[in-house]
Formats: sequence, structure tokens, C-alpha cells
Amino acid sequence: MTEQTTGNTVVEVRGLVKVFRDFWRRPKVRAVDGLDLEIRGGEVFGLLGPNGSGKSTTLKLILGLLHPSAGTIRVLGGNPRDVRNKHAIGYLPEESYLYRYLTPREALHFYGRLFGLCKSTLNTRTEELLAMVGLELAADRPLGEFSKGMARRFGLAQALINNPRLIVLDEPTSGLDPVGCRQVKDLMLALVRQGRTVILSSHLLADVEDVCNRVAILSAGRIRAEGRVQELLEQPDTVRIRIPSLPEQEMQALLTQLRERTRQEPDVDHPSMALERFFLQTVAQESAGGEDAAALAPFLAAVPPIDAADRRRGARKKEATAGDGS
Amino acid sequence: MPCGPASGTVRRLCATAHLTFRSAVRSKVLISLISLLFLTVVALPLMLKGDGTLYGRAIVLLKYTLGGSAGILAVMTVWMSCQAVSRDVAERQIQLVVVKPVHPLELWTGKWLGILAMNAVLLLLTGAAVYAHIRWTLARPEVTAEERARLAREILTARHRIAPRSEGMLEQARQYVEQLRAAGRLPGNVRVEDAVAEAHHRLRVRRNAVAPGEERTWIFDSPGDPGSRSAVFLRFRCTASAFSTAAIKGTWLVGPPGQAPLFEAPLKTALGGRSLVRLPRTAVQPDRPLHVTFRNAGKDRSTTVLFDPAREPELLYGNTGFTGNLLRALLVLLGFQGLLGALGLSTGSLFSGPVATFTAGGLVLVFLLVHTFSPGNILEEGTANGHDHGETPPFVEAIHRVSARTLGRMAAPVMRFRAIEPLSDGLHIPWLTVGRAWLLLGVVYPGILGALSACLLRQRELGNPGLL
Amino acid sequence: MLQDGRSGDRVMARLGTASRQFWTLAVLTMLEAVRQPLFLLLTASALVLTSLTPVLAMHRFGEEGKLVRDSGLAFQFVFGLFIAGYAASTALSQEMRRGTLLTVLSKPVGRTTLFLAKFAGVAASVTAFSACAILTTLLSERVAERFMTGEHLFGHITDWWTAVRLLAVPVVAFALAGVHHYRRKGPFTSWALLILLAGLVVVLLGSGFFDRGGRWAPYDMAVQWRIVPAGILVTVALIVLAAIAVSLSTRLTTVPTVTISALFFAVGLAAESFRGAAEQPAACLAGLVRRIVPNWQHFWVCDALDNGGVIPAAYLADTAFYGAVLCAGILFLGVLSFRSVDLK
Repeated sequence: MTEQTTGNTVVEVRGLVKVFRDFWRRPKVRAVDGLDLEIRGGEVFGLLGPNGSGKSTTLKLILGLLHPSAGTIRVLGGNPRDVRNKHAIGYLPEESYLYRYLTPREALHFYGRLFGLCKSTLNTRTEELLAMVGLELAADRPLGEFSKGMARRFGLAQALINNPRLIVLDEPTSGLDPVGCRQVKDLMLALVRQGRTVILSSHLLADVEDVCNRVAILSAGRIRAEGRVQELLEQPDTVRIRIPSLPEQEMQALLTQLRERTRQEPDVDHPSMALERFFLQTVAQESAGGEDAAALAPFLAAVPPIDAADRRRGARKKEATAGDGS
Repeated sequence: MPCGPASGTVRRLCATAHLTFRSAVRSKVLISLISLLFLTVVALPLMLKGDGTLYGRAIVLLKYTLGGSAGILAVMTVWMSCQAVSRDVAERQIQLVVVKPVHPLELWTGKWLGILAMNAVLLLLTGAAVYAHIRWTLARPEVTAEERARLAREILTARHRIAPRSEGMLEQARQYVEQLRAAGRLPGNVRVEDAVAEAHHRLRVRRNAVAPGEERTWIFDSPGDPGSRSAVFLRFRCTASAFSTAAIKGTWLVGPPGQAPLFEAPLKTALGGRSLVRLPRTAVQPDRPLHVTFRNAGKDRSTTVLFDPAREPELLYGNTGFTGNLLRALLVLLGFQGLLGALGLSTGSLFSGPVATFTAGGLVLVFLLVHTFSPGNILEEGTANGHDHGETPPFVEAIHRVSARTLGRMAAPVMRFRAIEPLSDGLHIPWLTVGRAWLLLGVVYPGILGALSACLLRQRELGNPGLL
Repeated sequence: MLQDGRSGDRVMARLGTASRQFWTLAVLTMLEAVRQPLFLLLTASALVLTSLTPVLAMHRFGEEGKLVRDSGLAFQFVFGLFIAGYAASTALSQEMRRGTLLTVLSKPVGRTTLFLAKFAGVAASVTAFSACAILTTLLSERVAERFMTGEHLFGHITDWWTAVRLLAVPVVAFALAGVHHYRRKGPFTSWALLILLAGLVVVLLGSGFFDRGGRWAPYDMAVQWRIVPAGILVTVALIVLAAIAVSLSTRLTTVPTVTISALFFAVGLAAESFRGAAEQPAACLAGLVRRIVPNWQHFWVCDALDNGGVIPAAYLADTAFYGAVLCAGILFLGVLSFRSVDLK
């Protein structure tokens, strides 16, 4: 298989246009309108946008499920419709399109055999993936009986069956409970640490903020904003200072000074933890010592302290010490 | 780690075939089919008794039960194969497949193999059930030895067949048509080939009518040395001309012309039915053609004997065994199912399930019925297709003729393979026929359809399934 | 008295609501059925095959359109069977599978009302198909070859002009529906069906102005109206088949529904042959089959039209009543099945 890359670029899109036409070939919807995109290796790239903005269409174009009306797409250095390129790609669609009559084990075996995996590799990989997504107890139930969340978990497993270099996830946390969401996000981070690339499409902004290195915001088929998450979100003209609680008098003195200095009324409140962290802590306490606690512990450790701002600060620190290699 | 490219393709084909088969089993389609086939094999013989004889019941089992089962399988194969791709497209499961390194042709072929495997299992079960039914019927105590012997002789056998030589009838038909054309009596819109075929048929009919006091000789190529255990039979079907109440009398004579006959036997026949005359070994000379003559000894003009022109008297010899013949017939039927499966998968690659089923089913019906639309009766002056030539708009006739001819040409290579008729006739189905049938029905036509479908699938935007 | 009045008002209000719901659901079901591409394909195919019969088939002297009549009614029966089975399955089992039925039942709609409305919608779509089929059979029968002894027309004459107009109807219907879809984005299939029906009526009425040779003549439609009662009987049979298919759809998917409906059809056609079964077990089975399976021979009376025969109104009424009783019984079982099925 060919694995030529243009530098470290995994996906390169230039001037992409997609126009859906009706039966008479008349333009009906201009879903993607002149998109330029570059996704580099080893990052989690988020594609955001409201409903109907062209996120899923863009992903399907990248995967070769749709034909572009104009523009070029290079995926892993090749044509997205080239069968040879697909050995290195994993895909989770926005809805779980499952074979109702197969069990997860059988379905994973089927998908694995499409990659030409040997039986022993396939058996091992199947059990690993089922354990990873928490479906080992439901491995022999027909997929048609699965709930939405279980179906999404299975979808994730089949996307990883071939140890792909590029993973495309369309609404991966849709239908999952907070624990499941956390697991998926941690999985994405773990994949990226291994040098893979993840393209994430979602309109759950909190999820995207948690994991993405770079994002592009689509609206009406065009990119309205693109860049690193912290660069896009930071308000450089404002500073937030966090200090332990002070006695009232000292607090007032401090505020007066700030008021005089900035000539604005400072905004003071008590910081709150992210709902996700609170939920996870509560669930862990409820089932202290039980399965949930054991399952949750790693995720709690992985959950960034307090809130997203701290996380970004943490990330900046990490980049400063490691050096930005991109 | 993935294995080599060739083994990868094989794995993908097997995986897709396995998936198709498994879906059929799990979705209860297979069990429904088995139930339907079981009903056909068990219930149909109870309802259709034939002529009440054991012979008649065996014919019902082979022709109607096996034929009916093949028909049911054909309908279900068309439906299933149409659904195999179209449902995956409509329910978008195909999106998870085509993003994997699978070529559309591999996907198509895998599904085709799965459908073929399912048909193989069902045909085997049906064939086994029919065979068991026949054996059970034979083993019943009320069956007489004579009935058993007749069945063994005429149906539960697989004999080689020699048709009589044509004796230049085709050439005579051409000459006749040329004469008509020269005299200006051939309708202008009639093709010469159609007129020759019609004339040939009429010549055969006339040749197979033996008036009282006349003789008719058929010449057969020698069967060679049939072997010490193998008998040679003359099989024929004849009837007396209409309105005759007098018994027909005649004699069969076997031997070279101008010499004393090597064998003589009186005509004994159930009028309208088929009869078998066993020829002694002395009548058959391995290195010389066999001359078989029928002499009509009747006196009354109304006792003209009419032999079936479509199946003139034939020589039968050898016996390769009914069981093997049944297996070969099932293989030919499987070939047909393969073609139907390929047709269904192709229409399913283009249309939605119901529309694909309708299209594929319609195409199959048109090909099956094409012979009913063939131009006929064209040698009557001034008529075509039974209508007054002067009144029928020419464009109607032209459309009729062109479409019937085109469809006939497309259907002919496929329709010439037979399985049920020779089996129920006790005729040997050669392995060569099975091979040819599989080459055409299982390789060439499905290959063409598969390649076309793979192109269609590649062009389709599977990320956006349309409504049609 | 006041309380009685109020409870009477409540009953009337409920009846009014139920009937509005019934009507809404039935119309929706019919629209859904006729908008399926397969519905249009089957209708057009039946129409084309019936129209081609007098053109392609050989005729024997003295038939006077019998072959065309019988073929047209046979096509109506067979195609109608598939339409009924498929429409019933789309209306019920596919909606159960997709979950759209849950959305409807989350509203204050009773299961019985829903089930009966589904049946009514399917029956209405089958009736629409039958209307097209009967009109086509009438016109095809006019096209069929007749031996004429008139001043201008003598001999075996086929009405080619009516045949051309009849075959043009689906072409024009598809073309006009295509134009409407192109310009107004209206649903192609339902418009094509509507134009098909209208076109057949226009051709029928218009054919009265021409004789079999295509010349202007005093108005005479020259169609055999006695075919209509035979077509109505087949329509009643199709409605009974629709009832069977809808009831089966409460538990089965499309293929088993159509297959079992076809089995009912086949066994019902052969019901008469079960009379007189000699052996005891076979006699019991045959009797049971005859009692359960509708006898379609009551609805298939083409032979009564031979040699100028007509179907008496009394027979039509009796058979329609038989059909209504059958429907009632089948639908009762269907309602019981639907009320107890789990919708997930």
C-alpha cells in the first residue's frame, strides 16, 4: 500500500465544493462551498458547526463516500477513493449502521477480514476491542438489540479494528453517558499520543474543547474560523487571577485597588468544577469499591483539574517545555 | 498484520459470502424457504396425482415438484439478491464496508457467492427430499413389480439419446422458400430465416405423418457397442389422426434398406403416450447407421399415424444412473440460480430493493415468455401473425419483430440448457453440458454483470443513498 | 337529563375525533402507498400488459375479446395482490420497524383506529389501482379484433387508433408528471398515477367520437360495460386480500406477508378442488381449508361474460356482502393481533 505523505500532512483539501443535485441535475443544496483544509499527523482536529453546516458531508468527501463537485482531496497522500489507502483509515459514522443479525464478535470478525487480518490476530484484536469499549458481556447478543449507546461503542470498536493511522469520528459521543463520553475522549487522546490522527466532527462543544488541538468552524459550507483551540478561545485582553478566599476586609481592599487601576468593576465569583468531573466523582462515590469505581478511576485521573481554562494553561506549559514540533 | 494480496482477496470474498449467508439464516429467510420447499415436496405430490399410476406420480415428483421448487428458489433468489446490495445501501451499512479496503467487485462477488452457497444447500436438500420421496414410494408394498420395472426402465435411468438424422429437410425448406420468393408469394415484410424455419417445421410435420400403406424411415447414427449389459431402446410418441375410431396397425422394422430386416415388432402403443421398444443386440451394428422403418398397415385413410415432430422417434442406450443424473441436473439448476442472483445483485446496485426486484423479475419474465411473441404462421399468403397484412400498421409489426428477435437472441444461449426435462425423461445429462452451462451461467454472464455492477457501485455516491 | 346530555355530547365529540383521526390516517396511508415507486411501476406494468394483449396475442375466430377480457382481469388480480401485500407491509410492518408508528401512538390515537385506518388506506390504494385496471380492460377489449360487416369496415378489424391512444396514456402521464416534478418539485409518483387515471378516462370518453377505423362517427363508446361488474368483484377480492395482508403485517415483514397472501390466493383459487376428498384425514383438512380460506372463485366470474353474458346485480351484491363479512372477520383478528403486539 502507498503511504506517501506531503510532509506531515495527512489530509489536504483545496477548493472543495459539493453541490447536491436533484433528479434533473439541477443544483439543490450547496453543502460545501470552497473549503480549504489541512490536517496534520498526530493531532485531534475538530470540525464544528451547526446542523446542516457541511461537517458530515466534508467527512464523507474525505472518505470517498461522496464525489466532490470541484476541488481536490488528498488523504494519506492518495486519492480518497483508492482502495489501497483504506487500509490505514478507520471511520465511525454519525449513526450506527449495523448488521442487525450479527453479534459484535461476528461483525468485528467480518470487518477485520475485510482488512485481510489473519485469524489469530483478529481473535486477539476482537477481544481487546470489545473489552476496551465495554461490550465483552454483550459480545454474543445480536446488534439489532443494542441500545444507542452500545451501538456507538461497537461503532468505535469497528473503526479501530485495523489499527488505523487516520481515524474519522462523526459524533462519537452521541448517545453515550458521561462515563462513556469520558472514555471516548481519553481514547482519542491516547490514540494521538501514539502518533495517530483523529478527525472529530461534533456539535457538542464541550467535547471538542476537551480533546481537540485544532478546530475549524463550519457554517453554510464554509470555514468561518480555524486554528488552535486555545488561540481561538483565549481573550488576551482579560486576565483571571485565582486566589484562596480572603477575609472580607482584605477582599474589599484588593477590589478597590483593582478598581482604581483598571477603572472597571472586577468580576468576582467562586470557580466551579466542570459538571462532567462532578458527575464522575459522584458516580465513583456511589459505587465506591465496585466495578464502576475501578472503571472510573483512570478517567478521573485523566480528567483535567477544575476546568477547561486550567487545562489549556496545562497544555501551554507542556508545549513550552516539550517544544512545539508542528 | 494483514496477509498477502491474493489471500486478502480470498478472505474478503469469504467474509462477504459468509455475511450474506449468515444474514439469510438469521433473518429467517432461509428457514422460510426451507419450509416452503418442504411444503412443495410433500404437499404438491399429494394434491397432484398425475394419472394415478406410479409412473404418473414419479413424473409429478420430478417435473412439478422439482420444477416448482426450482421456481420458488428462482423467485427468492431474485428477491434476495436484489435486497443484498440495495438494503445495505438504503440502511447505509455499506458505508462501513466501502471505507474498508474492499473493491466493489470483491463486495459484489462475495455476495454472489453467499447467495450461490445458500442455493446450493437448498437445492441439495430439495433433491435429497425428492429422491427420498421416490425411493419411499417405490418401497411401498402396493407397488407391483411391473410398475417398478417400468419406472426403472423409463424414468429412474439416465440414457444417452440419439436423434434421427435430418435428411436434408432444411435444404428442402430453403428451396421451397426460394421458390415462393421467386414467385412473389412471400410477404414482403417477412424475413427469409423465419420463413425457412416455418417451412422446416411443416416439412417435419408432413414427414412424421405416415398414411395407411406408407412407410417412413428414420436413420440414426450407430450407438457403437453399447456393452453387454446395456440395451438399446427405440422411444416414440404417436397418435392417430383425429376422428379415428379404428385401431391403428403397424410394424417396426430395423435393418439396412434393401435387405431383410434384422428385427421386426408390431406397433403397440398407448395413443398419445410414449412407448419403448427394446431392440435386440443383433439389430444394432456398431459400425453402420441404424435404419428404423415404420410401416402403417392400416387400410382406412383416417388411421394415418402422426409421430410427434418436436420429438421424433429416438434411440436410447446405456444407463449412467439416476442418482448421478439428478446431481448433474441440480448443478445445472444451480447455474441458473447463479445467473438470477447476478441479475438481482446488478439491479440492486442501481435501484432500491422493490424497484430492483420488479426490474429483475420483469426481465426474467420477458426472457421466459419471449417465445410466445415470436412471429408465427407467416407462410399464409398476405398474413402475418394472424392479422390481415394490409391493416396492421407496419410500425407495429416492425417493433414486434425486432423486439421478439432481439430478446430471442439474448435468451437463446441461456434457455437451451435444460435440467428438469431430461431428468424426468430419463435422459443422460452430460458433464459437458453441465460444464458449458456453468461457463455461461456461472462465469461469463455473471462476470459481465458483476463488472458492470462494480462500475455502477463505484460511481454511486454511497454516502447519499437516493430514493430510486 | 342534563348529565345524559353532557355524556351524549362527550360520546359524539369522541366519535367526531375518532373519525377525523381515522380519515387523516387513512389518507396519509393511501398517500404513502401511492407514492412508492413500486406502486406506480406495478400499475403502469399492468396497464401496459393489458393494452398489449390485443396487439400481440393470437386470436381465434369467434373469441370477440374474451382473451383480452380474461387477461385484463387476471392482470388486475395478480398485480393487485402484489400491490396489496406491499402496501400493507409499508403501511404497518415497516413503520413498526422504523419507529414512526410509535410517534403516532404517542398521540391520543387508539390502536384499533390506527389499524383500521391503515387498512382503509391500503384498500383505497388498491381501489385506485383497480380503477386504472378496469378502465384499461374496457379499452383493451374495444381494441381487440372483431369481425365487422359494415359499409366502411369489413373483416377482422383491430381498433389500432384506440390502442395507440391507450398505450400513449402512461407515456404522457410520466412525461407530464416529470414536467410537474421539474417545475414545481411535486411528488412524481402520485402525480403520474393521477394523470394516468385522468388520461384513461379521457381516452375512454374520447373514443366515443371515433369508430374502429379511426373515423369520426356518431358518439358511441362501444365498450362492454358488463366487464365493470367483473372488475368490481376482483376489486372486492383484492380488498379482502388487503385485509389479510394488513393483518399479517402486524407480525410479519414484507416477504412473509406477500408470500402468505399469495398462498392464500393460490389455495383459495383451488378451494373447489378440495370438495369431495375421499380419505378421512384429507377430508377433514380439506374441509378446514375450505372454511378458512376465502373462495376466490366467487369473485372470478369471467366465464359468465362469454357469449354476451352479464353479471346480475343480485350476484354482485351477494358477493360483495361475502367479501365484507370476510373482511370483518379478518380485520377482527388483525385488531386483536395489533393490540397485543409490542412496539419497540
